Amino acid sequence: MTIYQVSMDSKKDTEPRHMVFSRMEMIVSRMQSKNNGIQITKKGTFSGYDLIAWLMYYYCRDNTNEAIHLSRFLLNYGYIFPVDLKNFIIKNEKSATYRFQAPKYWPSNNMKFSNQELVIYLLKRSMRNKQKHALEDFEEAMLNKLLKFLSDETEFLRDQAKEQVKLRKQEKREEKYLHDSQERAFWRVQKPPTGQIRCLDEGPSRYFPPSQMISRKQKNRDLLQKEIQYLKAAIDRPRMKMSKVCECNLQRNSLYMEYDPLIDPNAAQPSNPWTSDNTTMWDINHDDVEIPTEMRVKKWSLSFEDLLSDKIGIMHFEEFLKKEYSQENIRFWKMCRELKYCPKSKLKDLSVRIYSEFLAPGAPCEINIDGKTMALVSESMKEVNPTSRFVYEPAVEHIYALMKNDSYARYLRSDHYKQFQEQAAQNHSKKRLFGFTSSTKRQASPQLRRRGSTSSDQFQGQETAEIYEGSFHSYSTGNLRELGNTPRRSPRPPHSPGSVRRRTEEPSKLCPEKLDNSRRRSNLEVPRQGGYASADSRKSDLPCVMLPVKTNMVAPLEESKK
Amino acid sequence: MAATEALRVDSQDTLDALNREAEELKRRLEEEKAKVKDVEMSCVAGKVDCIANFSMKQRRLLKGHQGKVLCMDWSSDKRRIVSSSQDGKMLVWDAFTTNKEHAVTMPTTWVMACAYGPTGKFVACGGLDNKCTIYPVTLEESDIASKKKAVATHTSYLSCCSFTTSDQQILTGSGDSTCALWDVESSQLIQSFHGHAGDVMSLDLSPCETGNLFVSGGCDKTAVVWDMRTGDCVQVFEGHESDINSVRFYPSGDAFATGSDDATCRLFDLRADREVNCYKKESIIFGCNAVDFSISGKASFIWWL
Repeated sequence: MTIYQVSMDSKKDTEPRHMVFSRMEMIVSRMQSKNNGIQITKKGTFSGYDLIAWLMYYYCRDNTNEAIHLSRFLLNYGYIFPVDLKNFIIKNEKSATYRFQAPKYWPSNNMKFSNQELVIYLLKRSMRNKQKHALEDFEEAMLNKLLKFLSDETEFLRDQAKEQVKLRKQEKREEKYLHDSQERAFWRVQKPPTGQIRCLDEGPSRYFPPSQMISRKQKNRDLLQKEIQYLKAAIDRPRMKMSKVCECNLQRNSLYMEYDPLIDPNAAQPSNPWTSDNTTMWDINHDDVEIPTEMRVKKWSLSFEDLLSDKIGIMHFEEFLKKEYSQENIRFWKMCRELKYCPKSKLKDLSVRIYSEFLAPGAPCEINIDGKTMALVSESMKEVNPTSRFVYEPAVEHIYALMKNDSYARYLRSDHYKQFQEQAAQNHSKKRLFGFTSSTKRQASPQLRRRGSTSSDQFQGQETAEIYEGSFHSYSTGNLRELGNTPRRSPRPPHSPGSVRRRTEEPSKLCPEKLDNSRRRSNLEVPRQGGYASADSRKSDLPCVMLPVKTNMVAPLEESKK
Repeated sequence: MAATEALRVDSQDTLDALNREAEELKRRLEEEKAKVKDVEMSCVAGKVDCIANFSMKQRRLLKGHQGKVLCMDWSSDKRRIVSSSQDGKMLVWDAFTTNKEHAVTMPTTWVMACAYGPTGKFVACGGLDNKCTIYPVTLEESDIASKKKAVATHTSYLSCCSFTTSDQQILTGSGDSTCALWDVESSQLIQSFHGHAGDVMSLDLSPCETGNLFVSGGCDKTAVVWDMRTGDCVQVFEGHESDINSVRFYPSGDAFATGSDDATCRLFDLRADREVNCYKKESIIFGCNAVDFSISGKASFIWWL
């Protein structure tokens, strides 16, 4: 029922599949234009420097790397080629000269070439002046292989090659040179030396060529009928205003930003394994843990979907409903979800079980749905195949809405949830203690030490003072033990009351701050840190560049400041 | 329904009439859609702060494929990766340690689709063999190829596949212009989805549990949102000028992003029923191969060739 006819014509079937060819051709023709094209010498060449400069000006907004990148593709796709064919690369230099390829050699006109053409080209070169046209080793090997393969045509191909060589020799010297290099550049792109990638590989072609796509759209009566049906429904569809849509998205973004480790490094508790090399996050975040992380529990409050997308969340919600004596709702929902995704063999059994347990009159766990919904369910049971995965859908929707609007709100307000959240917070701090000390022992990489001892770790998403205490001690003890031989370490009791107080004061002040290093530093009020902090190694996402000795001075510094 | 009545008569006239009616309806639909656009997204977005201190760098380099990598998928804990490539290999990686845990050589080259199961116990892949094959991945099993199970069969190459929220169902998209939902255990078709006029290139399931929706994009330049229960097309989105290579739902399930061969990415919204933004740059001339969102949906990722 797809719908819109597009002005594609069947000519397109033979064209390259990807639009990039036409785009490159556009760029090349702009380059060649008289008014604001590239500066071209009388010989028809231009320098690599001019090429890059032109691309930077017209396409890449003064970004050199982008321009070089783009020009490389122009080269590898065979739209330009270097005068010196032995160095088939782009150089951003005045001395490196390039030429435009003739349109007849453009890849879009030569998507497929035959082996015969290749053999003729290679034979031609082997017949001519050895100094100028000698075949390279890989070409020689290719030719021999192909000649074997095409042994019955060899004579014919040789004649062809001879003929073409003769014609070429009649040309003027300059023309001859130009045509030779164009041809050679073309085959250099089509058959690059071994080990180099052929950029023109398009992969498997479309199963439906463009012309067929159009005919599929137009000719099929059923499709047309369906299309009209769809369109009629689509016109009456309620639509949200764009402004509203944007607003919703923005709201959602800001709500979830806290949980996005990419934007907020605090989102990964206790640390992002990809930046810290510490796998604790995975260890404490799988579905079998007894008490999940605080972040995870907190996320359940964002939306009902968030709660239900977490296995532990469902379990905990079920416990709550048990206390409320409405456990059957969530169980019904769970079973129906299972029904949706269960293997076909179990479908019938499960369907029957759900009906007898939740829906049948006088069922042991009869769910509370109104007569209207029940009627819908029984109707769908009669109408569609009773083994459908979606027979109970009306009831499921009803129960889902009920839980979402009623039980879920109560759940979030309940002590059941709040206590669990606290528990998770406390547990989390213990987990951190355990996780960090053990991991520092296990793999004492310099980077880990750094993370343990610099201020950056104080911001790993702690919420309460308790966590700060716990985690901080864990760091300090772990590090002290591990780095006991650091000569400049001043002796410092791990449970110094001063440090605890400092930590407990900080979170309220610092947590809302964005992860801005300079800001964080000023807030910490440890001016002496600035000396080494300005070094690039302070950027917290650069692993393995920290010097452990230096960083371990942090604690003493902070201490002495006190 | 005059149109339906007229259908019974089999002639070119009715076809033309149908076409005309469709055209008219399309025009009206466009008008309706235009009404919704009261503001440019870029204007609204202008008020938003840029992401502070955003730096990206390579964390791991996984070396092992001998051709273009065509597809990859993360396990649900985001530690392991399955990847497939042009050379006919599918590899399962522990991306954290960069170890290859399993390697499977497929009977064909161009393994264009692969997917990790939600429980992490299965991976699926397929390509020019027109099939979707499922392999168990456990550390005890060293030769997972011996335990393979061909689940889906299409009449053309398999371009994309994805497990639903269960290991027991797999959704596949193919060059034969259809998508299909399969029962893993019995290898039987549960539901097929017809409607694309060209090859289906990519699909993504709605993250929204209640939606029962998925979106697919293909060579007919359209993205279609489907109802998995009925196999019906719910919404059609168009706007791209060339093949859609990649589709990905916004984390809320209310919108999705597409990456296309026309070197643009677009954001389509299900609620507004239209395109809400288009992302492009003049110096980018290559088609976009893949798009994805960060968890909050604030940042999105795009791979260009």
